[in-house]
Amino acid sequence: MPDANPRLSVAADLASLESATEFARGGAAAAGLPENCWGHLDLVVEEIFVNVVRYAYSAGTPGVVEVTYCVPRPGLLSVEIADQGAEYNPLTLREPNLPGSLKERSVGGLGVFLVRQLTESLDYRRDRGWNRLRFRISAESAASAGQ
Amino acid sequence: MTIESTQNGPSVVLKVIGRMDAGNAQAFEEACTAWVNQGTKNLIIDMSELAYVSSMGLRAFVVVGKLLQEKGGTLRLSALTGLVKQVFEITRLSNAFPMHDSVDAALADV
Repeated sequence: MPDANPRLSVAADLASLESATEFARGGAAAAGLPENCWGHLDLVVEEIFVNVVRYAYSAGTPGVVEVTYCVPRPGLLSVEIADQGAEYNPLTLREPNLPGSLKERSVGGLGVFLVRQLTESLDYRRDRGWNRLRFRISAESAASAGQ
Repeated sequence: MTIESTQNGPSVVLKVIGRMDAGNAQAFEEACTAWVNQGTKNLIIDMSELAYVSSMGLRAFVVVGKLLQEKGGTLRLSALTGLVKQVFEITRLSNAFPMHDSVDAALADV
């Protein structure tokens, strides 16, 4: 993404999550996404951000998370969340089993699954020491989520 | 997020209001666990005013549900709406818990 895109750089800390979701909501407003998309956007940003906070950097090592967005066309928002932590491509994760019996359910493991379900597209690249995860969300993807 | 607990005969109803995210899901889990540790076997979650839940929240529901199951109890969910209902359906957790349209319907099921 070119440098002209809005950019937020925050500490990889749970306390920064609200700043990240608020920043991404600015993108939703710029793209003119309807309000029923905003919850989806919050969720996707939270899932990706929390994964970075929990796994990207070694314990005790401060790190940063960068969030950028652009509006490829009205009604479509593209957001990139980047970190300089250990190389990690969440797209390589296998789809979780989702049995209907509580006894057979795993605890956790639903974050990346939700991200996939709630976005129009999701791509990852490793770029000069950065993990860059980019997703697109639109009114259409919100309406068809989970189908 | 705020949690209001009400004892109703053999059941405890926890009304969860607001947003459950990575920052506060643990508080929900602890509130439920405290009731379970006191011997409550029937927990009903009133989700009519829960507007948002992320995977950390879903994790808490599964943890509490499994804990109750081990103790011969049941976690019942009621009055899910909007995004929260959609998230439970997408993750098929709507099949893993008894789901009710209202707290009254959940109470009647105990």
